[in-house]
Amino acid sequence: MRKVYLSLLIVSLFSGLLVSWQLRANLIAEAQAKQEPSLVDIIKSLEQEDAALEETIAKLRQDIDNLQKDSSQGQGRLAQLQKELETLRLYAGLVPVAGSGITVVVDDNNAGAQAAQKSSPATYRPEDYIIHDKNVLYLVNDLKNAGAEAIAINGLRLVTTSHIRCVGTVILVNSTRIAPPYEIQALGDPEALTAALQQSLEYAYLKSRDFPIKITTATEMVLPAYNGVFPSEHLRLLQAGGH
Amino acid sequence: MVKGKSWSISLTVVFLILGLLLALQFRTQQNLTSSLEAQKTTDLVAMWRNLDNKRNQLQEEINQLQQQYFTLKIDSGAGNEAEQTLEKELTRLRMSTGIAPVKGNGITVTITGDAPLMYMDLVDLLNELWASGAEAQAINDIRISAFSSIADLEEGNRIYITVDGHKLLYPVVIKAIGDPHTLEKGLTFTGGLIDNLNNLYNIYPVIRQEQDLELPAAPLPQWQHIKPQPSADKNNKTEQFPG
Repeated sequence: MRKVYLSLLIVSLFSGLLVSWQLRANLIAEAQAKQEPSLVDIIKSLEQEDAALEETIAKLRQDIDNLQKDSSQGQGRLAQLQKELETLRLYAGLVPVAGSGITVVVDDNNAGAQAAQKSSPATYRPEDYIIHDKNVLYLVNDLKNAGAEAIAINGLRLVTTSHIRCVGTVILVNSTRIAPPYEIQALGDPEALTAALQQSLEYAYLKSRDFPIKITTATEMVLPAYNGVFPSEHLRLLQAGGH
Repeated sequence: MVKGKSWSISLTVVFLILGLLLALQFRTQQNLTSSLEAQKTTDLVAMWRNLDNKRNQLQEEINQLQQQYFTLKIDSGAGNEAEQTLEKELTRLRMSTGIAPVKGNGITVTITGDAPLMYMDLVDLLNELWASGAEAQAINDIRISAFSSIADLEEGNRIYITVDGHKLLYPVVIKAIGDPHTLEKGLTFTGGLIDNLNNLYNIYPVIRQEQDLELPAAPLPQWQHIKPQPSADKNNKTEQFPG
């Protein structure tokens, strides 16, 4: 029987515990009812808002990261393009160049003109004693044939579209007036250039007409850059394979 | 004995139910104490303050990130612009130096095989066309660059005119891109080049204005003797981008 009492005692104890807990729970529930519901709502909405803001930050950081990657790639591409442009500007003649080469100086045949004027003024033709645009043009072509890699006349660099012409008795190179003596500088192998020029038709012609013409070689000389423009109003790039 | 047994069964059942109830009550209790509603008002206010602070900080971070994002965005836009400018300049130089194929309006000058043509006549024609505003030229589909050489070559009993070492076969056709009218006028004015060719050499080139002429590319120049004129500025650059 004592065992039964013990059990009963335990049961009663637990029941008491249960009742007291329940009571507390009720009290808390009552307190909840009294609690400002708005405060809890505010906290809940703040929590939601903060979570959304955190998401926005994560997304922005990702976007910024992507942009930074793009920009560093763009800078790599820019550097590549700049290097290409540098090479092209060199080919185009837009950069001063240095190297070995020769200087050809040719002048009007003033002595011959004076002599002719004195000895036979009747048949004297002044144009026979001056250097014409053609003479310079053919000398330049001969230098190109001899393998000249860059050419300048009286400090004017020759490029693709350069032309040598005269207007009246004045020679224009790249539409700029130049005056005698004409100094043609050509970069390349000095010996080869000299040899080829001395065998060329134009050189022989000028020599035969007693024009003063002189070739000097140099191991290092500098040709200036072309300062003009390349006309490209009508030019369009022909895409490879485009017909 | 029977009485004792029924007691113990009842007790077991009671204990079981009690245990269950206790467990349930315990869980309810836990939920209650961890829920917001169970907190004291002062704690809730503290939490609210915390969350509010956090929200302000997050907001500030977002503002900063957004600013960074827009700055980057503008920079990358500028980068693109710089890239486009470079690309444009590159294309222009490729076309003008002759290393890219081009198309455009212009004229063709055709010389047939019965004409006593000499290579100097071609040098004159090219020069005259450049002077008249030609932007690109080719002879028999060999593109003319700043380094093109025009010469002649004796082979057996025939003399060929060569452009960059290529023998020209008749008819010789010069294609020049530029304003067709200006180009034609540049050759055909009285006392001009065509007049001279007609009267002095019995060469009668045929000039035609053309639309959409296509000119091939010239090879890259093979330079052996020249290099860019080094300047203090350039040295640094080549160190940065070797090769």
